[in-house]
Amino acid sequence: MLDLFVQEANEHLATLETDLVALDANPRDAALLNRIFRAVHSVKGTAGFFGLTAITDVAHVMESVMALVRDGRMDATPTLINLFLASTDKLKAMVGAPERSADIPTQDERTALHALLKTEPPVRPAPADQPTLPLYLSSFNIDPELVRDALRHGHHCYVVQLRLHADIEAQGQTILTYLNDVESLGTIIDTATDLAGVGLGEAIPADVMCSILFATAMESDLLLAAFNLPAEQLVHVPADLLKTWLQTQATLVPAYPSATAATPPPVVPQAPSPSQALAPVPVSLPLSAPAAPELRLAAQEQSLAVPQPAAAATRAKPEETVRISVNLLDTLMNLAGEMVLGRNRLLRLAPAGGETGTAESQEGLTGIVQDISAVTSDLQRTIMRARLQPVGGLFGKFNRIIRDLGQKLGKDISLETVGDDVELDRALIEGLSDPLTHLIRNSADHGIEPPDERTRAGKPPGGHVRISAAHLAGRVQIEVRDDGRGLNPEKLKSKAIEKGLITSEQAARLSETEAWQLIFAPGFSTAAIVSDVSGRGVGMDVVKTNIERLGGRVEIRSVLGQGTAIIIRLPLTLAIIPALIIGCGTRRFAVPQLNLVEIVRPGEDRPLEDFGGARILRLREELLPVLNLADLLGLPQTLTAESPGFVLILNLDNRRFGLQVEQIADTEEIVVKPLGRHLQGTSLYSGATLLGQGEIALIIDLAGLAAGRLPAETTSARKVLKAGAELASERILVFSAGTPETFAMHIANIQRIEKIETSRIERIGAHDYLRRKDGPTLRLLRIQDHLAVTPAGPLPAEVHIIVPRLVHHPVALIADCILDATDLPAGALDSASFRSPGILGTASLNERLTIMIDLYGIMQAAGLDNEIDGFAALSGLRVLVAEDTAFFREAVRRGLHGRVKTLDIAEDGEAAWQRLQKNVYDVLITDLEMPRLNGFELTQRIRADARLKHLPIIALSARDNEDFHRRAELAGINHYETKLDRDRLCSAITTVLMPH
Amino acid sequence: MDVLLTDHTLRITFAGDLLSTNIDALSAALLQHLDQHTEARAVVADLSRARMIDSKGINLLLALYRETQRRKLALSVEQPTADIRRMLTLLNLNGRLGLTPQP
Repeated sequence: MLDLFVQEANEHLATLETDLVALDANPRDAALLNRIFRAVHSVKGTAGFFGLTAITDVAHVMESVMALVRDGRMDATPTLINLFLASTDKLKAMVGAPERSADIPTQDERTALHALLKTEPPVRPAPADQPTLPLYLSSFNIDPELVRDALRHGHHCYVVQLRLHADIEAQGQTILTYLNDVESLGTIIDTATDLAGVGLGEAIPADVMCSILFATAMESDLLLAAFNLPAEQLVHVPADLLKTWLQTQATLVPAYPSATAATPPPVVPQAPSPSQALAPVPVSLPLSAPAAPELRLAAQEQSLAVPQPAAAATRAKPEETVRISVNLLDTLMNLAGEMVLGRNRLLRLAPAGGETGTAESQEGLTGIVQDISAVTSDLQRTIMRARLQPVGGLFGKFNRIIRDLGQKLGKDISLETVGDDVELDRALIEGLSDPLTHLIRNSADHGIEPPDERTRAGKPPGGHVRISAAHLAGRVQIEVRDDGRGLNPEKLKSKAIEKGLITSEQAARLSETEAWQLIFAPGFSTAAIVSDVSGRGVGMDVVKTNIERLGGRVEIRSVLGQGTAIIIRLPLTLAIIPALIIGCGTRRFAVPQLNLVEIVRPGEDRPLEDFGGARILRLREELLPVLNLADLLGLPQTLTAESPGFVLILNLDNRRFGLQVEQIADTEEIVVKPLGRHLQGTSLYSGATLLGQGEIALIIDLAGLAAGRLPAETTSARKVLKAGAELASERILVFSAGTPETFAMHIANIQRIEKIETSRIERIGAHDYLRRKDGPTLRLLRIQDHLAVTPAGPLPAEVHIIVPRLVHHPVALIADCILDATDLPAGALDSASFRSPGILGTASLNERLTIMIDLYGIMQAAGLDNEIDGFAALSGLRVLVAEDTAFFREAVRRGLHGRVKTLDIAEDGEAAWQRLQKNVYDVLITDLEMPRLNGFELTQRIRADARLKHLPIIALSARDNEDFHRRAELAGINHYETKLDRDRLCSAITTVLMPH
Repeated sequence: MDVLLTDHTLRITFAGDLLSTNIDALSAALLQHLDQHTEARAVVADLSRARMIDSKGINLLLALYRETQRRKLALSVEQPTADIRRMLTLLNLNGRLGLTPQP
């Protein structure tokens, strides 16, 4: 019984703390005051039943004070709330150890509370019972179920103001198409149309003013782009406002007809007719401030006219619940897991058993097995659902943390929580508690600036932290976002150099995104003064490790001076996961499919190579580091160069690497079992499972496997090999080639640079070659042989060879000296003054004229471009390219010129949109990051356009990360291509236009 | 525009689309017919011949709704095309305009 008291009292106290913090922001909120009073009262009552007088004493005086506040006779001042929070802490401590509750000192709190009771409280009028909704919501009939559903999924609610003529028809769209598109992006909760000024006796206005209450997963900027509306026509409805309204809806349930509800709601002037009573409660009637007569009329009219399904009448009946212990739930989950394992074994054995029986028995057995399989899956899913808890319980505690930190740090910080109703497996919620607490503390301590600094920066003095949860694409996304100072890449680099984490050279090569990742390095701390709040340098690496242990990933986005967002993506559950079963000798291992990108067989087109002791897989445009499973586990090595087995391409925290394995056995839903004590010390395994055949398989912990085994140089090597594709779209390599001219080429086009002895170059006929032990022989190109430049003298004893990426031929350029790696300033490329095959143009760099070479033009001149004729089908096409970077504009122009019928190039998305209005194209190739209108926005605008919505769109981006791919897919892009391979681009066009 | 009064129900069949080009004429005609048939207790707007309605056409229907409300007449809109029905439903005007359920 005492256990039950502890459990219940803890639940009350958790709610109490959250409500007290909320009361700080809304000190007159009657619903909150009532809840706080009830919570204290419940704790007092049950503690009294058990004779826990120390608890009763504290709760009693708290209750007495709260009664004064509730009755409006005392203000809920911050001081009072602080005192209540301190008292709640004491209650928690006492409830946590009831048998020793009398030993916990509470004299200070009780004295302070009694002192409040002795003051002469003023008599005040009772606070208003009902919260109000803003006027902009008053014209809607809001169905609480739709709102509840939206909040449960972490969706945002907006009011969209539309002028049907000006915003739709005048933009060349039809109202129906536009509204269909709107509906495809979310849920229309209600639509209200303005009747003002409409009458038969008057001139009929051309426009219709219409408001849509809309729920969607999209952020406001994306929504504005999708709807093609100015920002002032979109109002974000705060989730807290809707939550408060929903709570009030529960208390308004008697307004629906029931046996005891004889009195109509006080503000409804007459008893409701059946059609009124069944309609959702119009928002404007009981809740809002007085609305404009027209708006009120609209709401009333709609509730009268729109009959609602009878289901509304039964909506109020609460779902029956029963309290169940977590241990019992865990046992049920384990049993369900065992059943899944049994099902897996049965599925494996059933065909074999059936083969020996009659046709009828085979058929019967198959049917039974299928039934058992289906029931088992349902059972497992149902029990898993029982383990789900709303994340709001976890989020609730952050209110207190933010409040306390704000006071301690002298900062005014508000916390917004979004998606409190999103449900997560309880194991995930438990695992998230510490990392999220750390992130919240970091935001408050490091992110949000002090008020005077914010004021100087033109920001409001109060900072804002937002924590949100949402279900996205089968995963849970949790985001902690602040509007603070943002991460300063240069400061992070300096700190990392100072701490000895990276060298200056490595720092210089780091992009902004990579610099942000430095905060996850062990021992890294940017706090100028290490405080007791955060900044101990033991946090973010642990945060990342903990999230990865939960099967999640962490991403950072930051804008200097504007804020930082930490995004966590997690699986829905940890207990049962899909896995790939692999073999190494006679042993079986499971690899979570969550991290699996693809499986490849190394071969001639995908060779495994050794570079400086590290194994590399050449896969399409990337070189990936490869780990060997048998080597890592100390098992006998059976793989050879002739029989290389398979390479699993894995993605871990946006790092791709390969895992070479001997066998691929199966895919299976596996039940994760904890490791035995003797294996818990290893970082290689995250658990164990029983396979369908009855074998035990260890589950590979990919984070542990990769840690320390993908050396830092591998990551930076990958970065260099990816040749700035993620880094700097305008970075160029400047070099000389034995002639007086200076040359440059885009770093994005370079795979690697090697220094070789000239004596190794072999001349056969008119061509130079370099034989290599670890790869195909390279054809070496001397620039002066293929470009109209000054003839070169003899080569020096050592030269550099520049190996391009994204080409099909083993080829390299000879450079006698690498001069610099620098940025090509915007607008510096002059493609008009010096035109010649193999030359993109010229640029003035450091007061020298530099020739920007067209690698593909040189290859063509060298007779190496043998695939041009393969794309004859493109010759009739009209192609529009949107690209803001001069270099890539020119390169794409060179790449497609002569292959397509018409090639138009626009300097950004907006310019492309203008051209699309005037001309007809067969395909659009667009960069994603552009000023004015980016590629995502351009695509959304096109997809919303009746005439253009079917236009094939290819994204051509220097970024090749999951987020960009996902956003591109969401926006409606048909194909994603990484810059810059002309042949692949042509293939992509062919694929998009002629998929079959 | 065809107009037929039967059993106190005034059935108005629009001759074609409700577009900005003809709305003002239609508005005047509607007012005239309502004034003429004061014995009507209900108005049916028959859209069976309309293939398109633009924003001004929507306003015409809303003006008709307000006028019938003022005159205490019941209004129903009948036989719209699937597209027009969908548009009116998305605008949540189906209830206000008494849009008859899809057969």
